[in-house]
Amino acid sequence: MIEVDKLSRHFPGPNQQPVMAVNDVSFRVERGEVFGLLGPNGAGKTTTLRMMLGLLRPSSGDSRIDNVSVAAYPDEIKRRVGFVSTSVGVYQWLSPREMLLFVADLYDIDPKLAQQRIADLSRLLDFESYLDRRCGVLSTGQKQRINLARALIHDPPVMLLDEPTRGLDIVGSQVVFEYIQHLRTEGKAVIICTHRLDEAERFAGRFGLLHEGTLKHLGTLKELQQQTGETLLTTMFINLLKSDSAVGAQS
Amino acid sequence: MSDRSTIITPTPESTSRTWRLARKELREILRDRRTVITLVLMPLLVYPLLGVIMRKGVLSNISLDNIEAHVCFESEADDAIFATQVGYGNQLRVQADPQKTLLFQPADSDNPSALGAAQPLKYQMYFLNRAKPGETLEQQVADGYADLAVRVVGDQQTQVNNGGGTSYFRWEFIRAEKSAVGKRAFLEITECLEALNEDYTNRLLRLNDLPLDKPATIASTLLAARSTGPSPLITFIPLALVLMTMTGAVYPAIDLTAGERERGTMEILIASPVPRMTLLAGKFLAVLTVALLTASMNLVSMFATLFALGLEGTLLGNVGFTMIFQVVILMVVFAAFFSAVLLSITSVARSFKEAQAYLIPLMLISLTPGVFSLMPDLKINGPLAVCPLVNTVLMGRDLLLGNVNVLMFAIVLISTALYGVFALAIAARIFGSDAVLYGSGGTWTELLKRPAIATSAAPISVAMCCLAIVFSLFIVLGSIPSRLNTTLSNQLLAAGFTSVILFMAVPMIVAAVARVRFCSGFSFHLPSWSMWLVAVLLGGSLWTFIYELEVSMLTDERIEFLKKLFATFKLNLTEVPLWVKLFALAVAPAICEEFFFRGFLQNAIRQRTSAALSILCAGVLFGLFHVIVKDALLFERLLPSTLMGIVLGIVYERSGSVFPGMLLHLLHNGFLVTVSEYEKQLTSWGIGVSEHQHLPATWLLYATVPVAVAAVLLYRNGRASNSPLADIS
Repeated sequence: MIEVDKLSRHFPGPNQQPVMAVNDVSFRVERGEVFGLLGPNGAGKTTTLRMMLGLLRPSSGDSRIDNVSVAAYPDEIKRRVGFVSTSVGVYQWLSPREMLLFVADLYDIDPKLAQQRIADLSRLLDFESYLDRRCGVLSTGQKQRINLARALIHDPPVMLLDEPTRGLDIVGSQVVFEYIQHLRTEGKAVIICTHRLDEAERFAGRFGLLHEGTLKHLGTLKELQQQTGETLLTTMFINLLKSDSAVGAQS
Repeated sequence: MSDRSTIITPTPESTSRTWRLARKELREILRDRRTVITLVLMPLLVYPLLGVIMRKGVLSNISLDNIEAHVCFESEADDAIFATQVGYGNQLRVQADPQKTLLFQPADSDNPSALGAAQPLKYQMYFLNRAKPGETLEQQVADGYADLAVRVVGDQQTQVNNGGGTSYFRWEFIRAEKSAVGKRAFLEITECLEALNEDYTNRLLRLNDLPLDKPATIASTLLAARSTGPSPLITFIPLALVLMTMTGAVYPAIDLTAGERERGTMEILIASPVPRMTLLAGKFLAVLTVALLTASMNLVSMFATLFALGLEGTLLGNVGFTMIFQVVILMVVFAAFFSAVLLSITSVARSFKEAQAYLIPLMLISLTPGVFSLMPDLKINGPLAVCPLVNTVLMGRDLLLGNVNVLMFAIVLISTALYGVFALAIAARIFGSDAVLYGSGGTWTELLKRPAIATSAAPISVAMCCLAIVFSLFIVLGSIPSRLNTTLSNQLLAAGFTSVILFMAVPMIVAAVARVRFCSGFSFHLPSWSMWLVAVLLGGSLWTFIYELEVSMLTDERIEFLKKLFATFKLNLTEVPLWVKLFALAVAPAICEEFFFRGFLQNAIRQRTSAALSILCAGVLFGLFHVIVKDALLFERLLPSTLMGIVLGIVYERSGSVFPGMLLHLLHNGFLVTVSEYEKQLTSWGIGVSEHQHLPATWLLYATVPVAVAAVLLYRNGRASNSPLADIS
């Protein structure tokens, strides 16, 4: 389904030295699977997702969805992916209905079908009551619901979620968790990036632990426990960070 | 791994999506009150305000049919004396000259215009007594409260000499030096009082039986200045229009690019399967629409103010459909150009604030040439016609005055449109690129740096940049050879050399800077033998059809016009050796123009579009360059030259090389030059080829054979399509 193959990306750093944001990352995600791409801030999670979506050109490597290469057909990949991020905003002067219809048009969805999907999604995510209010006056949580619906309007087989609960309160976060459960039951392949490891443990089947652009560990929770000898993802990560800082101190 | 990848044939993007995108952008923009304020309120306020200022201060040299002067007095008694004396003087003046009438309004009347409307008058002046208690007359005038203050000094003694009473007063007038209305009121009133004096003197003379004749009678005739520069106001109007159009486009341009990035909605667009160029086109259309709406609002408000002030007859030429149409076309092209410039700049910015910081210098830079063009004696010429912004302001002025030069108008439109296309190409390169969105290229300046890797063909932005430069230089340099004080042969050789600079040197420099490989970038490939044959066949035959087409498009009137035009050029081509003519009119244009139009330009356009579109674009541009000849626009050349360009484009597309086109072009021009060289001999043989006569029908019949053979060869032996889509599939 999703195949990430030796994906790397470097950015120009100070003194013309390239900074490796993502370094030789490879993994696979199947249909109906929720994959947690975890790591602290600056680990390279968002960069990896952006490369997978075709928003950012990889320095090397490729990513494929249903054997369609993102390097060759970025627009075709975008058609198959729904992208959720708290950094993505809403159109202040449009209503949620107008905005969702506009996004549906971007994905060539028939207007009648789009209306039907809006009705379904507004019931699922409980935003029927403010479907025709201006987005600019909605609260953060309400905007996030619109964003979740926006990513699903074209019914993509793959969902990429980048820090979907950042800035949300408990109720807002709960909506996101239920949304992810819904995606799983719908048989979608989901990749979720977060540094909230406790949350990730609750809904992800497999994990990739990313640190400084490199995938340090990959597998199910059991496999990670066997690899690291730790039971909690949080502990595994703290150990990873500690070992790095120890190496840094020695050098 | 790549062998497992699925292969997909991309579906072409529909143009209706661009319109839908633009509609959504417009909906968002127009719901924002800030836009509406800029769009509607600003023009509605600015022009009436400017009108008031103009009327108060600047219009001293402009005749006014209706003015309203505010006159104040120290007392009601003075007011009454003024009404009686000036009123009587006015009656005397009207008796002497019925054309002159002065109305003034008593202090208690509320409706001054009612008096004016009662009879047809040349001048209507209303005096309103608006004394302000507690202030001296000088203060009232200095404060601008009154245009003129009148102080009446006198003993009001009445002498009874001749049965009638005469009063003696000293009239003191106080007015501001720069007040045009004050000056006019003063002149009108003193004329009335002079009429009183004149009447008094005449009565005294009659009483004493003295002759009325005077030792000296004076008559004066005022001659209009032979050449008066246009009023600065008339240049100010297009400048204001241009500035307001720019203002209208600024906010939506920032909002739809940097604003979207700041709000995080840009990612929605970039993550969708819509090509960046389509997204940009939608935004461009939206910005252009708002800019045009602002321009229209300004135009309407401006004209309404001019009509309300009664200035339209004085300032403007004949306001008619043609003038309004030309102004609208100019505004559309300018708005498109400036919208593209704005989008290319604001696409770089990461936030609203950053975009504003970039645009302030742009606006200041734009203002400088605009103000420069306010100079009244500045006339539009070749270099100024290709200077962005200055050309629009000057052309706007000429359009409003009604003395527009069609050639300059075309040059202004074409150059502005080309700069717009260039700016749009830059915007397309920047908009939504990961370097700008995520800073992946370090900084956005990386985009404009010389690329590290050489490319096989020029990118569209580079090609458009080159086209804009070549067109500007074509206008500026193109007329130099004919101005050289030398023989016609030398002038022709200089023209050939100019072609080399324009169409070869400039593209080569641009290509070198943009790191475009020479051989592939200019299509220097050896074609198959069949394509050489095609070139020979078409080169030897096609000119007959092109010539016939050009002749058939000429009317008798047009032929007369062309004869006169060419007579002014003083081209005595008979004294020029044939080899010079062949070099300047056949060899140099053929090689240089093919080098640029097909080898470079069509090649670059072809990388991003279909074969048909690239052929058409290069062909039309080729045709446009051939319409501009010295000081005239030869419209009849547009269709034949464009068709010729299309044929050359097809040969280039099928051969993949620039060489067959060069040969075809050379033979084509060479035949035309040779036929005109041996015109007399041909005429003596009964073959009319001079003075725009038709060619013998048999020539055309014979010519169809090689054209048909060439068409078959092109169809069967051309290279396989080299479109980007074909490469993928």
